[in-house]
Parts: sequence; C-alpha cells; structure tokens
Amino acid sequence: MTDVAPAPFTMVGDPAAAVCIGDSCVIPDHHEHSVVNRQLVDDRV
Amino acid sequence: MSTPIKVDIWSDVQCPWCYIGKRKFEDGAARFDGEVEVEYHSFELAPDTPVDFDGSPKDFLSQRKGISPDQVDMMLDRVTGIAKEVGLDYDYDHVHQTNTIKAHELLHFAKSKGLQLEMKEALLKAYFIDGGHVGRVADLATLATTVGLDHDEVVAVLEAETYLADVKADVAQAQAYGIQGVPFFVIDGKYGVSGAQDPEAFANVLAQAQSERDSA
Repeated sequence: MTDVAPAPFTMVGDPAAAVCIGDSCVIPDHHEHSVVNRQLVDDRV
Repeated sequence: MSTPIKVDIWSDVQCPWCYIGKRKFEDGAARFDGEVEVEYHSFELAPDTPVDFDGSPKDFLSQRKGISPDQVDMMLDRVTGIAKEVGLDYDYDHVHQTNTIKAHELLHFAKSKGLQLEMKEALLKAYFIDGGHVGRVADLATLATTVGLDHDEVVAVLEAETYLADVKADVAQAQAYGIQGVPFFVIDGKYGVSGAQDPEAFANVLAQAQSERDSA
C-alpha cells in the first residue's frame, strides 16, 4: 500500500453531504427527511 | 480587478450527485458576490463497466451490489425526487449504463477549445435526462457538435486517445488528494468540499476564500 500525500486544503461544509463512491451513491438521511417532509406538506395541502 | 476564485471539481458523468451538486454549486456561486472560474477533472466511478453494458442502471446495481430490483427502484425514485428539487428531470428508464472514459477524454478536448463547461452540461443532460449514450465515440461526436465542437476532430482525438493521459492524470491527482467520492470541489486551492452540499455552503466558502484574498 502506498502512502497518500496529505491534501493541501482544509475540508469544509457538511461532512454528510451526498457523494458517489465507486458504484455506490448513498442517499443521506437528511435528504430523505426533506423529501418526506415536503410530501407531508403537499399531502396536507 | 481581482482574479476569479478557482474551483476545481472532480466529477463523473454517470454520478447522480455530481449533476445535483453541479446545480447546487451554480446556485451557490450565483449568490457569491465575485467571479468564479471552474475547471472539471476526471473521476471514474466504475472504470470496469463495459461501453455497451447490456442492461439498465437497475440491472447494473442489482448485478453489482446484489440489491433487489425493488430496492433499486426505491433508491432511483428517491434520487429522481431529489434531482427534481433542483430542476433536473432524471429519466432512469432510459439511462444507458456505460463506461465514461471516452466522455472524460472528450471533456479534456473540450477544455482545449474553451468549451469544457458546455460539454460537461451536455454530457450530464444526455446521460440523465435525454437517454443518450455517453460511452460510444460516434454518439459522443454527435453530442459534441451541439456545443460547437467539430464532429470529425472529436472522432479523431477519441480514437487516437489523445487525451487519455490527461484523464489518468486527473484520476491520479484525486488519489493523491485522498478523494474517494464525487463530486469533490477544491476552492482556490485551499478548501475541500465533498458532495452535493447546499448552495449556501458553497456561497460561504467562496466568500471565505475571497475574504482571505482581500485581507492578504
């Protein structure tokens, strides 16, 4: 295993934001919550 | 006059969060009171995918990950719903799962012609919305003409693999940075932002980079 040089930058933002890794694209929980919440509001209307 | 804030973005064409993240970044950049210069870099999520994969994304995920077709349908429906929130109408029923190496070579060629941003948008739209094939040279050459590139020149550079080394260099740079997932944004060479963040997050980091420049 080769050593990876440290990134020359500082990470910022939401560490749980949606990303694709390999052939896997995970849907973060907060995205699901926002969709579900919107659907509830729509249903109410 | 200040120089624009440079934003380097690692991304793949068949990455649903990359297109959603692109829209969110563009929204954030529009809220930023300054200029931004964007450059896209290549990242291959599934480099062993055949160009002519015989099946849909649902088949691909089922075969690769062992996820049931029903579960895949639910996942794709969720992503499609989130894409809609940023104005993108993903059409997974007509997506052609493929290998994106040629699409990345095309993006480097487009960059050499000053048309990379237009080509990136055209590729993502073709893949996720229009049911286009973004793995075959002939299809890519036709798509490239829609942003002003020359059909025959595109065929020539893709068949000669003129920009393959540039694609590999981008991938190697991502590995050196420890980038494991995309989209990944490097702002002004100082800040790393992973994933499809909210627009406000992008606007904030752009403002932070600008502020640091102004006070230097």
